[in-house]
Amino acid sequence: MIDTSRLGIDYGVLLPELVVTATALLVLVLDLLIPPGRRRWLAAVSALGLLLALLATVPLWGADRSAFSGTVIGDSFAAFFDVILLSTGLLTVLISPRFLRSLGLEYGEYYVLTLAAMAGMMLLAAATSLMTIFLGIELLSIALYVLAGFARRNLRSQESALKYLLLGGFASGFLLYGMALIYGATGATTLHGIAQFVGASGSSVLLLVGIGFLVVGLAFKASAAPFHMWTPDVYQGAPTVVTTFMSVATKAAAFAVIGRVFVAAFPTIRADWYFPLAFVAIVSLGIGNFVAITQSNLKRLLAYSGIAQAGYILLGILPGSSEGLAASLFYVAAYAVMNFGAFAVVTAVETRVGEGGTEIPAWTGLFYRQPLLATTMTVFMLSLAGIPPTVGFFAKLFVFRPLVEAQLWAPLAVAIVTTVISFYYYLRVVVVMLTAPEEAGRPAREPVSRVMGAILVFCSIATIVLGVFPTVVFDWARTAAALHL
Amino acid sequence: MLSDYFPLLIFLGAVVLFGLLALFLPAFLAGSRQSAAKDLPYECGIVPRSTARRRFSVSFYLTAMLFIIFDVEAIFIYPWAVILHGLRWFGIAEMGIFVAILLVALAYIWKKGALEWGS
Amino acid sequence: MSTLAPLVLLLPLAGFLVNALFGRLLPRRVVAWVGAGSVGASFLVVLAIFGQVLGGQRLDQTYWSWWSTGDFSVPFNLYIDPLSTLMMLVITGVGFLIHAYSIGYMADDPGYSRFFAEMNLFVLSMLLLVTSGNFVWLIVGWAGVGLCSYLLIGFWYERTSAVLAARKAFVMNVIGDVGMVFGAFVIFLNLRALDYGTIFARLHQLPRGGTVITAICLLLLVGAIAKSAQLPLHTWLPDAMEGPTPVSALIHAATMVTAGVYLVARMHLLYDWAPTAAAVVAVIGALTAFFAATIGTVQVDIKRILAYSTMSQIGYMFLAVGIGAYAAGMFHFMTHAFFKALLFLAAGNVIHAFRDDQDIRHMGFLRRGLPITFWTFLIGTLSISGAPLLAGFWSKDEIIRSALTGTNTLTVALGVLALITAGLTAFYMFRLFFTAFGWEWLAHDERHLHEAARVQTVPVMVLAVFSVIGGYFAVGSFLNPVFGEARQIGAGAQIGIGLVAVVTALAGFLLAYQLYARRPALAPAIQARLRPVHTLLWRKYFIDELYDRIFVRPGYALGAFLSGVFEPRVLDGLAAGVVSFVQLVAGDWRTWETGRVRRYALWTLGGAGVIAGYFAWVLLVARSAP
Repeated sequence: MIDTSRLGIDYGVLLPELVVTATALLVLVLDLLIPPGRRRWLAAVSALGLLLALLATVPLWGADRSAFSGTVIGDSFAAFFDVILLSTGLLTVLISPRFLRSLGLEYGEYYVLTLAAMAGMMLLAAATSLMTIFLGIELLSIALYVLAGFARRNLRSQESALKYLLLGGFASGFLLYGMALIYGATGATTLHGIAQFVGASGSSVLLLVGIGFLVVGLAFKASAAPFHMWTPDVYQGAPTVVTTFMSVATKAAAFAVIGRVFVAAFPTIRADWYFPLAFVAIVSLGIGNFVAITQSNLKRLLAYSGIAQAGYILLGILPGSSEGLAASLFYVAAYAVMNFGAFAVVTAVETRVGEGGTEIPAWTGLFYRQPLLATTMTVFMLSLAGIPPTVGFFAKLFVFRPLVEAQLWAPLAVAIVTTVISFYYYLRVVVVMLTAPEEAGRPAREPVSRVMGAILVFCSIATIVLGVFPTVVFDWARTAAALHL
Repeated sequence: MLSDYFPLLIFLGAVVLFGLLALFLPAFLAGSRQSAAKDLPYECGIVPRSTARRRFSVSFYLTAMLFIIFDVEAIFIYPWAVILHGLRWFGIAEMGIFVAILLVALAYIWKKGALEWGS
Repeated sequence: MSTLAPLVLLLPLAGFLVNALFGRLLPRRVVAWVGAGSVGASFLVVLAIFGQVLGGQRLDQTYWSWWSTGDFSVPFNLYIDPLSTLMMLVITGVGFLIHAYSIGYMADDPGYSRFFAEMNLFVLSMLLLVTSGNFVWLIVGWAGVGLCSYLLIGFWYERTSAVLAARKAFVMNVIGDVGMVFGAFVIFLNLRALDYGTIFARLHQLPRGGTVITAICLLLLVGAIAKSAQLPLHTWLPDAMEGPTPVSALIHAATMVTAGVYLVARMHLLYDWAPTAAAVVAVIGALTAFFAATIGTVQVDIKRILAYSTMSQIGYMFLAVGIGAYAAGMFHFMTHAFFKALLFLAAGNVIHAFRDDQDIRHMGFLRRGLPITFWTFLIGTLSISGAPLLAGFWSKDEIIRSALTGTNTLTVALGVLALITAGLTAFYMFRLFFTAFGWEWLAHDERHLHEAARVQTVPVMVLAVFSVIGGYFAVGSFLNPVFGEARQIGAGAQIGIGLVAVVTALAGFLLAYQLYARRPALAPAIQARLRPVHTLLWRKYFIDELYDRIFVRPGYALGAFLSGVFEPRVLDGLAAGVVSFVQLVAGDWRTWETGRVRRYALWTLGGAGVIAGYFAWVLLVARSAP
């Protein structure tokens, strides 16, 4: 007789992940049973599953349940990211059917893969062991490789998937090698064990090299520079709904790992990991904000903007304090709302205009054709630029503040200067939408689907409301950031 | 700490040494006689009819991959079987779920026609 | 008062929301009523507050805590004292007249509701700016004013020139905003507070005239000069003429450009504490006053001349607040609001009469065609020129007097410059008047000239009345509680300097009369003789060209360099350099996938190389060092 209670089996901790996985399997089976014309229902089932998973995160708030031999944990930190990830997934699933139909891509696998990626991301948020981290990363990556190439007949989509796969494999190699070295240096795979060892013995050469490789692998997933090169091509080539999901959720998941690993597992050797992270943050801010200026395709522009935003999120990690981590978490939440909204607008425009709809000239005078899309896009652009009273302003303010207190002037100065530069390209989008189209007579207005309209209005209202009452979410972020392993 | 790995190093050395020995020893012990037949892909006697560098049907790769996936997953059942007695119903339930997921996958590829050859 | 004060802000906000959300659906009459009425109602509320402030009441109340983290909180508090009351009176009062005027002026424009929505937002932002009790909301209002000016200058977005002008205004304002934000940031770092009350109370923790306080004041000054179009961030204001004329009136008279003056006056305790920074304010003001006046003498676009006159008059206000004559500066702000709004609105009527032609050389015979506009414009011209007993005379005289009786040579020198500028002002204003309203007649037929509608002439006449009597409002004693008693000046000096000022203005007037009324042939001759000077002034000292060379073109070049050369060559080269060693070891890497993906992978490897290099440096150099 084996005493299974000693294994620390606690399915409650993984309940949200399990619900999502079960939903994925259910959708897979349903897809085989229902006729192709009814595939819309798969979106409904997926949405229902995600809602259930959201409910399942409730018991995790304020909990501190380490399970499965210390490889996963159920705590506020995981719950915080679960809520962000599940909401993103839910909204993605809701805006997908119409877009997929417009491209002739209405396949059930889309939902299965999205849910599988979700499960991987949520596992990352809960992971407290190098093994579960790697498991989560691979789970989300493999699903996303396929999703990026989901528009099989489109060459760009194929190219996107192949590039993502090759470079992602390369980065996974770095990540795994880093993990192996960290294990070699500390003799532990759980973050708890690593933290104990490092706290007692300090750093070593092996550990430093391992940390360096870990940064490379994670920065790749978060699309932070200089490991960002795949981002614009993949974002541009992948179907826009996939890009929407990928740009928000993947980044959130990557930062869940970065936050937990660096602030919770290596707090005692901050001096050692400060440089790699600061380097990545500064280069991301520089490259993202500068190169975005020259882009003429909106998806590429948002890709570079996303690289820059990754830099801002990293800023909060640099001080190594829980206050800084809370700021980063707040930024992730803000980023999820505003970036999802921005990409959703791109999706809506592309649904109507076709593939050329992501080129910036196609947006000229959008304000007069589709005032709802243009107005909400304006809100998202202002927020991404960090202009009050939007949530983006506070996101920036909150990550800048810990830098001031920790007296990290160099990253702060870079961040402020590049923020000012970023106004240019964000506001350019607004200006383009406001510029009247050249042909005489304004084209008739085209309606936006009701679901899409509701989601856009929801996101833009959230962007502003969180900018007026930021403390609500920030208090949650603080609770979540009070980590203990 | 690193000294823990010393036996591993010895093992590694032994492996390399053995490999090298196997490679070079025959050159001294056995004779060498070159002939055209020895450069053929299959030394055992099958005569190749055409070049091997041509495109294979994609179904071949698909079937091969499916085989590997199920093969690797079947490996999990061996260690499970060893301790099944101790795990009791818990073990049965866990493996039931595992196999159920595999069955879903099987049903999926079957229905999608991945097992059809060349139609 | 604590319930009245938010009402001042809420009324224009309501007007903005109604017109922005439902403006397209509402009939034009309703849009106009909502747009102008909300500002008018706000003015009535301000009058009530004015009464209470006269009775000695003050307000610094927190209505709502926006957010707080740790020791840092940002409340929404309103700060009402005589200074902000004066600002509110002018913003809502003059603002209302301009709104009423717009009902007629914009009557045929398709963007009617958009116009009123943006105008209301403009007034709202400005009101927020002057009533906020802390820097965060000051900056919100500050940025809002910038945003609205961008929207309104580019109101006719079909015109390329309007879009370019709007962009220029925006860029200049953003430069100023950055200065402001940095200033507020330095204040917070040193005083740990952002609300005025605490800042003023803790001010004395900083050494007087020290680096910190001087830096704060100079950073705030960057914001002030950008918003008030002072040297060297002035180039946007003349171009801002691309907006509809009521917008120009609003920008120049009631809002926007006076924000800089308000900021210095509001922060006068800080500037008193940093004499060097205050001197910089005064120098910039006096130089701008003179510089803009000289440009104004040769321009031919009626709105452009008025724009330069605004720069010049704001320069006077900067001079005043720079030398500590805060009340005089605010006094001039008020009278200037009256006559400048009058001049712009009257000019708008003229422009309409000439079907959007703004060249003063094409105008004439306005006395019979547009009698009301003619006489009111004359009053405005007299007032700005400092004709005795009119509003402009009293306020300008007070500034010149304060400067000339100053205690150090710099102040006196600036006073002399201001005096010369007064002569120039009279010259260019009467040049404008005689040329546009006088006896010349070129291209237009008299019968086509029509006086504007009642809704446009009545506001102008109201403003004309205030341009006459505005000088008799006891602004100085009203503001005494804020700035303290003004320095007393002997009666002899008062009368003497007043006389000198009048004589200077008279000289300017006579010169203009000779050149442009009596002997029109003389002006071109003189212009030919002084061609280099004329060209210099005509091209506005070539400052636009200079900025283009120094900032704009190198900026574009840098962008092109980064995207065209730096990223593909240098960065890729670096990454490739790190990798070439690996290539050497790993052999033929080039067969590894297509070119671009390989290059991307090299980036990744290059980044890893940088991190590895750092660790190698740490381990080999930094740690081994004793």
